[in-house]
Amino acid sequence: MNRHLSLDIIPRRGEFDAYSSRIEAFAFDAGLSDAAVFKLMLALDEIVTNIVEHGQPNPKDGPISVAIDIDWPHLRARITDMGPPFNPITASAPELETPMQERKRAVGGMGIHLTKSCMQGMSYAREDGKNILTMNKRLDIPLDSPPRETP
Amino acid sequence: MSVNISTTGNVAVVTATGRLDTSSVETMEALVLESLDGETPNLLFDFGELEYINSSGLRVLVLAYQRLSPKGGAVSVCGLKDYIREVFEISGYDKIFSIAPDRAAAMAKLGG
Repeated sequence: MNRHLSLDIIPRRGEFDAYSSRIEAFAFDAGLSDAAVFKLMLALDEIVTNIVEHGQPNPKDGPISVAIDIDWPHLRARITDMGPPFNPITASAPELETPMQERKRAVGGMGIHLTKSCMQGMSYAREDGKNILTMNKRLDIPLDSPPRETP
Repeated sequence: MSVNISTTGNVAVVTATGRLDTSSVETMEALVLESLDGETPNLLFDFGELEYINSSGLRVLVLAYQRLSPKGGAVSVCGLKDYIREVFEISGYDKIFSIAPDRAAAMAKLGG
């Protein structure tokens, strides 16, 4: 059974938080484990926050669209925005090897680093004036379990 | 989300529960900054009831570390759920902050 969730989020700092309970309910309903729900949420949160802070789309141009599809065991999340060309994947990597006291940006780039660890594949495309980021993940069995079909 | 801070000996303990997200992190940051201006050398984050953290939450811990460690203080974290502990491992922060299973173990290490 395919499950789908679409959300339109105003590109504003902190706006993503208002949608977290809907994403969580959707993911639990689809049979994801606590850990898988957390990772999905973290990945979406970091990407949306990154787009708002660095891609800086104008709220007047339209929302950031988040579409999540679960076709067991495949999960796909697609995040689309109308802002200037911005690829969060190539945003600079965190300074993991630099001693903490010398790091210039403290946690700069950490959000994307965490996202990459939460997902298995990420791709970026610029199409029709939109930034489209797609993330894929294969859900774990038996840690996650497919939802029972209701007769 | 709720966050409070208390002091035991030479350790300020920040307890955050629920979701530490972009909207709620400012509350914790304000409390932590206030504590950093004081005399308590060590900071313990008790995350036993924490369900969510993102990079903006981690940034507050890093900020505390950058301020306390030059003065010989330590930043400790305790009570992490497995999936949140994984975030600390992925980010490499498990090597910077002392991570303890619970508050008692963390306090013993900090000598509070």
